[in-house]
Amino acid sequence: MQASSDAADTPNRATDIALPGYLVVPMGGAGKASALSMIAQHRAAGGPFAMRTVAIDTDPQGLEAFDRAINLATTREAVSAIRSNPRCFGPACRALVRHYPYLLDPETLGRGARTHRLLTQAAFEIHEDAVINGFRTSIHDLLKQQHAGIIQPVLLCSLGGGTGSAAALLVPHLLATSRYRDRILLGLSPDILAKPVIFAVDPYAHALQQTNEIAPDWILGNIYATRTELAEYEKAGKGCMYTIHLGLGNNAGAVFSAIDMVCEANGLLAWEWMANYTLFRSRTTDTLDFTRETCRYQGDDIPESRIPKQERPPYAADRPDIESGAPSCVSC
Amino acid sequence: MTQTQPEPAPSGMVAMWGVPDQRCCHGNAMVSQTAFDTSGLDALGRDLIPLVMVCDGDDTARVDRRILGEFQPAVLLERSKTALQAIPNLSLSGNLDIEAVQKKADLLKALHAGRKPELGEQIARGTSTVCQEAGQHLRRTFDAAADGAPSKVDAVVDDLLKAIDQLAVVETGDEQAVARFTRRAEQLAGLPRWRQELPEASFKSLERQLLEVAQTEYNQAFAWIVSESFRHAWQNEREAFRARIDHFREDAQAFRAKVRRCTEEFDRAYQRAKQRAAALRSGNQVLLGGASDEDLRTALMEHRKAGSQVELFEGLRQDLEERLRERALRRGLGTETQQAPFRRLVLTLPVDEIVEAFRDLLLAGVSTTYSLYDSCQAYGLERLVSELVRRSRITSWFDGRDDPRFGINRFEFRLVRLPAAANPKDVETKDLIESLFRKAGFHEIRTSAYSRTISVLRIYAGWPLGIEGGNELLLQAYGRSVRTGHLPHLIGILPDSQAGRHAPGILRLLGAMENGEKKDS
Repeated sequence: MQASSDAADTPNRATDIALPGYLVVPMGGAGKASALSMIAQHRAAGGPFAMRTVAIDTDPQGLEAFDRAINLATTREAVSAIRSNPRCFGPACRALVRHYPYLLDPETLGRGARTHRLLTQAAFEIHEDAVINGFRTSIHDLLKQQHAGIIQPVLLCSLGGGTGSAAALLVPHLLATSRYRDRILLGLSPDILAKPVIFAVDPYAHALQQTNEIAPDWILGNIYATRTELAEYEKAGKGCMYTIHLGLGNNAGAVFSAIDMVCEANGLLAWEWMANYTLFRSRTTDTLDFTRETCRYQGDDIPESRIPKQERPPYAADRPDIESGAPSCVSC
Repeated sequence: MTQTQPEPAPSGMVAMWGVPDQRCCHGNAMVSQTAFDTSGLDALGRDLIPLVMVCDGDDTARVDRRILGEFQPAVLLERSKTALQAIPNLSLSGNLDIEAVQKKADLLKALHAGRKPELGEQIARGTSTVCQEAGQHLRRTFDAAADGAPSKVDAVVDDLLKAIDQLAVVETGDEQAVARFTRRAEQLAGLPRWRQELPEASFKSLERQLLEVAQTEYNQAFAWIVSESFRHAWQNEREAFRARIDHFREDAQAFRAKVRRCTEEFDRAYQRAKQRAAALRSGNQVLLGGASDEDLRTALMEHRKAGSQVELFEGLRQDLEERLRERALRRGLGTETQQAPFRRLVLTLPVDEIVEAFRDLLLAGVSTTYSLYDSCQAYGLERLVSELVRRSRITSWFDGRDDPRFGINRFEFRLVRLPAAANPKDVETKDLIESLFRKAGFHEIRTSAYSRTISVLRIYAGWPLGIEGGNELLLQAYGRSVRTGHLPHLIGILPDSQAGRHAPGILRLLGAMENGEKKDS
């Protein structure tokens, strides 16, 4: 295969409406850090494709670096409003008032969710209009920038923090649920918005750097919780097109020992994916895109095989029991 | 007592419920890159940027206090007089007679009493115009000089303020002059009574003498009116100019702060580069050796053919200005920035933009010393490619569960991005690198004019989340986090999680796994 040049990659913005415009959504601290490296890359490359950034965070620091920002910091007034009228807000706000009033501390709420994913969900409920307006105006900005045939949301986040990991579920939910989607796409074609793609950092490095003894478990526990929720979402068909993870290191000597290193790599990965979108899709249309919906794991080494047959869910009813540690196979 | 260490038993199990229901929509990606040791370049930038930014070029552009000659009150008062003499109502010339003196006296009385506002405005306008013209000229001269020498503005401002304070305010004329003239006019009005009693020649002589005195007194009255009006106009203009140069002082402070911040930014980059060099040994980047700041400075001098440091700074300053204008245009800061002086340009653009422009400028100057492909050669091409390929391996673990026989359709996307070759020698090296990557199974190779690094990207996708090897340890951390009161979940997603608390099913899974391990051991 011949090496191709940038000139060949650069879309003709005026005419090529099949090319997507990218709505990049940095979510939480790691998302913002990833997006900064992506923006630097995009700028250095001379902006070969249309891209708008709309950052979402419960910590307002650094939001000004993006095209648009949705500040989810909760004010004292909002806290008072939630406390006095919990029924007027969503389930997260109600749960906070009823079960965890200690989390509704205005002193700390303005400075990020600090691994409490529930606080981000409550902030989404409080700032619902701002979130929807932020997405809508960003989509309009993008369409003004380029005649995009489709808008591809690209979500950047970490899966262990308080804001990014919650937003990794909440933003796809928002974009997929007609109640919100219709408001975001008001006056536009309902098909213009593609399923989002998530570029997510698994923040092992961040967890391991914590000096607090409890924090690493909370961060890593959050990753697991987010993963189970993502899986649950996907089962219901509400998930993203792909979720691309970036872990701690590989067995070839590359270890991301600092969170900024992994965020930089994550931003670069996402940018390269966008820059090579056409090539990537041409490779995945009849492979990955197809099997994503149809293929299912058929190994027997699933946890359900450890519990008595009568208690198993239907999909695991016929699986052989696992008694020993070694995975069994059909021939055994 | 001997202690036996039990061998860790493999869990042999995917650490997440419901894997057979999960969609194969997850991927893992990794990117490896080359990186320069940029500490030499950053050290050079840190040393040069303050010198280049305050390099004033033509020193003759410096503000000279002689420009204040234009602003001397005595000179301006004369000009004001000439301007006001052009007002027809105020001129008293030609064949002077008693009637004309009478009219002027009435006019001055009315003016003094404020009954002639139009004339009062005309007078004020006349003197203001003269002062404003001088002030504008002074400001323009000062602006131009200060823009040419932003680093000297502070000294210039001090100098000018002192000089302005020393300018003698014009002496107010004789305040009684108007009264004297009106009395003289009254005296002249009574003169016809004497026509009968004096010989004709004596009367004529007396009339002429009185008219001459009246003319002198009118001139004094006129001078007083002009000086009074001028005093206000000049004071106003002086205050406006003082405010303007005070504003310049603020600008100068902001400019100095900007230079300091740019220098600090380079210093931070230098410190980061130093730390980075240590971290990169185990990261996803392969560190190539970079030149020292001394080598780069020599290369820069040679490239720019600069005979002296001052020449180098001046040349860099001009090029920096050009680049900043381009960036200002790209940022949509408006066409006015294209004509704006360097000082204004620096104040308008953010620090990172200035630092980036200066770094690009330095890089362009040292590109021969700083060629990526030369550094690759020095590192060893085969070693470099194998290192990049190795470090681009994915960061997820599957313990063989991503096998097609388990229903997983593996998909890997590989891409290499190479910088464009700058010279024929680079082309050769680049071709060699490309062939080495192809041998390693990387067939998608892109060339980028903008890129200064080689990057290798892999995306390995098409697996369900439950089979990822990290889940097991994460599940254990989940269990521990629950014990310390953490609320890991969102509301309304997992059916068995109540109000954001842990999901009992997940803890059951953890229990099943731990029990399994106990049994196994």
